[in-house]
Amino acid sequence: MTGMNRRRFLQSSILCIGAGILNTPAFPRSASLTGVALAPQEPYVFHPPMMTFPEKKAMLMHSDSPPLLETSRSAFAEAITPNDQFFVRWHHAVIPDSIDLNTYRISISGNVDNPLQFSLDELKNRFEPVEFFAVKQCGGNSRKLYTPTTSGIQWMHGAMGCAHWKGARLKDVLAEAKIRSNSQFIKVNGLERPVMPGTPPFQRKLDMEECGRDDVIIAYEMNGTDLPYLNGYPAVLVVPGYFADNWVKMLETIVVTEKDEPVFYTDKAYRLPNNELGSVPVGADMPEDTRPLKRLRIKSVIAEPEQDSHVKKGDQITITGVAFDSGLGIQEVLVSIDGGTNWTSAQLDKELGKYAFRKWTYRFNAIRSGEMTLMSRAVNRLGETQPLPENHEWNPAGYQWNAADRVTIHVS
Amino acid sequence: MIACLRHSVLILLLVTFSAHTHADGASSAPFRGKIIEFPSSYDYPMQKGPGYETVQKCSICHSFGYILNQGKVSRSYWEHETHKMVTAYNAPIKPEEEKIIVNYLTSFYGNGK
Repeated sequence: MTGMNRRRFLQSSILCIGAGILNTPAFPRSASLTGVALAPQEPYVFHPPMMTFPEKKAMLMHSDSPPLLETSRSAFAEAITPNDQFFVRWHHAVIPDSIDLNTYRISISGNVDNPLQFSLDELKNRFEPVEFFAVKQCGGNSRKLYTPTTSGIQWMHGAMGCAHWKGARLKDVLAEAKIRSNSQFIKVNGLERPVMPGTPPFQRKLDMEECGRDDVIIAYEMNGTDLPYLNGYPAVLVVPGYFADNWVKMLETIVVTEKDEPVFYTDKAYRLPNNELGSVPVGADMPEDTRPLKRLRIKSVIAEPEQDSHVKKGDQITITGVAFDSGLGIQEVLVSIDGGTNWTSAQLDKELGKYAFRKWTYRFNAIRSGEMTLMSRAVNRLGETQPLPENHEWNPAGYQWNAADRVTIHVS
Repeated sequence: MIACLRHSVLILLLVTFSAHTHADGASSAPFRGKIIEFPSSYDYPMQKGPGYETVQKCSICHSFGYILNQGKVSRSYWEHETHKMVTAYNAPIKPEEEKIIVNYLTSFYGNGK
């Protein structure tokens, strides 16, 4: 169960032997994986290839190790993102190559009176199951739209998805462990491991208010089936309304702490400037005063039509996509077919839950030839809406992009 | 694309009830769970040139996708990113190697700024 990703292990072993070996490729390259060829006139521009991984359809691969796979825009034509298209994002390259449920255990330790170790079967049988739809979105989703470029993987809109999650409440599990009343935080770790011993583990910290929520669960089902391996099989922490860095995959340990102990991936990484919008002037450095990235912001994404698609004059065009926020609920999705001058309400599908994608649709006839700029802009029950792209604020790590979406089509 | 698909379908082995035998021959509980075999390494088309050998060290922890993904960016961007790998993530890169890596990235993946 604790086996390593063999390829990375061998690669790091080889590199430890000596620098001389670096003159040759560190590991034999296979010809079995080939992607989109580089356009010969653009030798320095790299287009990530479409690749298939176990249990996944072909997805845009930003990295093979750690695996980073992006969902296609077209998947957001539906409110539920299929497991085989759900985005994949690991932080470290050492991922176990098997999970045996006979030996897999989740442990609760630290500031508790009854330390626990339980199997997946026990998680399923000993605690009341809870299920709901919720959006999981990476903090860096849509980072590619920031100008100038911000640090991190240049995702477009496909580092998000909405699934039906089923699992046990975190608070029920913590209650069984008899968590002590002076506890302040939990530190959550999964089974992925960094290659270098000095690299911080992917560990996250949640406070007691977050731990006490009725809808924070340890999920063992995603869309009615076991989790895909690459989405954190067999169990993942689900924190609806929060960005995905809190949703620790392949859950292994929960350590309850009395004090606020520093954790790299909560206290150093996934931070925003500590002001209302979490922003700095364009191009400025991260200030000293920062805060953790937590709640999702209102957002909508156009799934169809595709960017730069060609349609015939007179055709009826259907614009469709999804909208969501941090759980207040979507009130309205406005659509513009003239680049943002005029806006009209789209038709909303029924709400699957306050944390779910809300599918929306708008139809129009393409009456004039030429280029058309289609936009979508969601409004929630508090009246909060998305900024226009040109007004979107900037932060050094490129987190929480949520501008109105824009797609250009060509009518002829 | 079809070749890739076939490859991946073959490498996923979902085992539910196969016997699991230890080295001493004793059989434990039948394996229940999932096994994954990752696709073989993708051959990222990194530019060949001064510093290419040193840059191979980056792939100890992550693929070259992390580099190519950034697009063309400034020297200060690459300096910041490379230094972060050493200070925040403990990358085994010596100061002189850090300079070589930044020069390589700026020459091949720089934007002239």
